Amino acid sequence: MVANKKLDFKGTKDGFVIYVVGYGLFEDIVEQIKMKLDNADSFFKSAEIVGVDGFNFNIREKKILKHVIEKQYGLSVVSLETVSKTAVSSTMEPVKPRRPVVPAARKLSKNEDTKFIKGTIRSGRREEHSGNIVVLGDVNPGAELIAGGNIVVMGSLRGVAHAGYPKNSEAFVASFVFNPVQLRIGEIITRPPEEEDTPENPEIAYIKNGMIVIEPYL
Amino acid sequence: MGEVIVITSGKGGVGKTTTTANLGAGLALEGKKVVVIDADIGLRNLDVVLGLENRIVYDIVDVVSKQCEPKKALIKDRRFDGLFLLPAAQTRDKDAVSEAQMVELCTTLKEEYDFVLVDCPAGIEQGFKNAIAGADRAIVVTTPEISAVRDADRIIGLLEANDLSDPELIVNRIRIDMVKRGDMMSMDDMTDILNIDIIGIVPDDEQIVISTNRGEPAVRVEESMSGKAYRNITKRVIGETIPFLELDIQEGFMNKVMKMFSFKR
Repeated sequence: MVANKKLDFKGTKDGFVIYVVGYGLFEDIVEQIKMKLDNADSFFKSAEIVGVDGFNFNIREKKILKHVIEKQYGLSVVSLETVSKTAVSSTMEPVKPRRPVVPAARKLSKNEDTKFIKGTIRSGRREEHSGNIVVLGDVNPGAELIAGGNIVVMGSLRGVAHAGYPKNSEAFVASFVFNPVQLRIGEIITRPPEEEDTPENPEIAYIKNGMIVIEPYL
Repeated sequence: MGEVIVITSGKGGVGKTTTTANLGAGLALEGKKVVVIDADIGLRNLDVVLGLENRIVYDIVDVVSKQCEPKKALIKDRRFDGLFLLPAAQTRDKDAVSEAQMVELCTTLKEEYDFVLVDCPAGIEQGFKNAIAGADRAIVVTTPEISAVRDADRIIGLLEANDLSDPELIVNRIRIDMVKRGDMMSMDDMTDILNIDIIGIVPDDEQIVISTNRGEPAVRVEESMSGKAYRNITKRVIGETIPFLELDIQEGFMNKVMKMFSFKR
């Protein structure tokens, strides 16, 4: 594959948008989408495709693509109309430049598909969901949470949390006791600094200027 | 109708076999009829710890494959009235027994005995699945080490997934002096992560090494700290409420020493 060709599924608040860069042929795009979905196992299962960015499909192509995505992979296609990145984000409420500025918190008000998990998530358990994940309990070391949207832990977060999988840099991770082994938001992976003590205040992590920042939200 | 209790840990070397031997002997001393089953097929140890190695004729594989009656394979411990051992097979592996066979074996044994203790092998593979298959209740053993606690957490998750909810925890080999210095995980550190009820705290004790090597359960040694700890655990397993004395005694003793020290200065 040529380096400047790219195809990705990006999670937005409404669902997934297919981002296409540098592809000229419809067949290549279909091929690439199939490959992505094959590799993603069940991650996209029951996810919704809400638009396309970077390629205009004609009616026949839309029909074929819808068929492939829905019938072969079990996703639902809401729309394959072209949306631009700006159009997607412009539907969100404007952020008031007040302190604390937590851009990700905008998403809290939106009605996204959320999975609630009650109880302690122990080592060896992996929870995946295309929307948000809320845990009413602790997440222990050795456990993994992977969400297309945000992650909120109403307890101690000590395992690995990946919000905004695979590429949603708007997502956030918040918990009462914020002490993850590793933290991932969108495509960014960090390790929390090796502090002496676990924080006492609830904290939130989100991406600011291409870096994950962690700050108290209360 | 008796109760089947599996003693498990995930990590090896934390004291599952020692705990099984002492709890079994302790329950027998309390007047219960007890069978201890060694489910660690291929790496049997429980017979050695109990000092019954030289009396093995039949083993668990002979029993589940119906080559002999359970009664015939059980070895009666002459020191503890009411304690019986069902040894593991040493020349076979974990696949020699199936989960269904274990359920059948445990069901048969608990009809006649008050307690059936299953000594689980380390790991989470077939041996573990076999050991928990017939259990009504689970005891998780850990030591105050980060790796043991991680494995215990994983095991608790697996037990809960297999309908063995609310397992109880034994913390083995704790050293109060090290905890006080902040060099060892404290009880709080462990309960914070594992979040289950504690049924016993066993201090690190030379006596346990001596008695294990002799094949003589420490629970019978009156003056030993670990023996006392196991006697308390036994009572808690039966349902009595016994305060966690061991630590307080040591703590009290340590405090006294500290006080004397500071007083002199």
